[in-house]
Amino acid sequence: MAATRLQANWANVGHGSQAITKVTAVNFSQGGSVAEFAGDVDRFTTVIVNLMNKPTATVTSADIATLMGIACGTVGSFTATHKDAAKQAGGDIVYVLSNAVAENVTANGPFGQYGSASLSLKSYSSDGSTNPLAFTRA
Amino acid sequence: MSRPDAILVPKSREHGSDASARMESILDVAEPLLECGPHELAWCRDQTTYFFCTRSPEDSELYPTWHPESGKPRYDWVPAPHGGIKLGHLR
Repeated sequence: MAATRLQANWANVGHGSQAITKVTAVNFSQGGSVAEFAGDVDRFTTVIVNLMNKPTATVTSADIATLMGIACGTVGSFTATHKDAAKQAGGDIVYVLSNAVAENVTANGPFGQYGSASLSLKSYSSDGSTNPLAFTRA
Repeated sequence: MSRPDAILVPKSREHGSDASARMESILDVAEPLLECGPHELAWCRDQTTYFFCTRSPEDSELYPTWHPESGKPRYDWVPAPHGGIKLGHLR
């Protein structure tokens, strides 16, 4: 069976050397934004340009202790594999967010439900030009 | 000539109806051009107008900020025979 081109569930999630399991959600964002310009007698925006991108990632896990153990400011590569929905070879998408800085961790535990924690990460570029968010397939 | 260390793929080579298909369309171009071995992967980054692809997710287009050559290109680029792609060799 060929790769489904559908993804479901996450594996091999980690930040630096810290593996993160019991993962229930991962989010990657290119963090793009646009700058608008208007001047003189303009009454509408005349130019919209993408000047800045700030890629980010967020991971949610039921392993609260592990996520709470990651100190804010810790720098490492954040990796995650989005699995092929039917577990077919070559259908996984692997992401690496280089220079990922742990921004914050929040823990949450509603009554009568499993608790979870969320780690948010921001990243910086090694050279100011290269997008720190890379992807491949496996 | 040795295999390229990096390639630049124009955004125009991206096609597909969903995110997975679009990623695959770039990786289909990158993997053979980078001549990836059996245990190597092609890693691509969206650079807004093109994709920068190498065999490591940690590579950068320019020398990093901590390097004495900071801000200067790390690769010498030559055009590939087809499709507006550029092949890069580390300097």
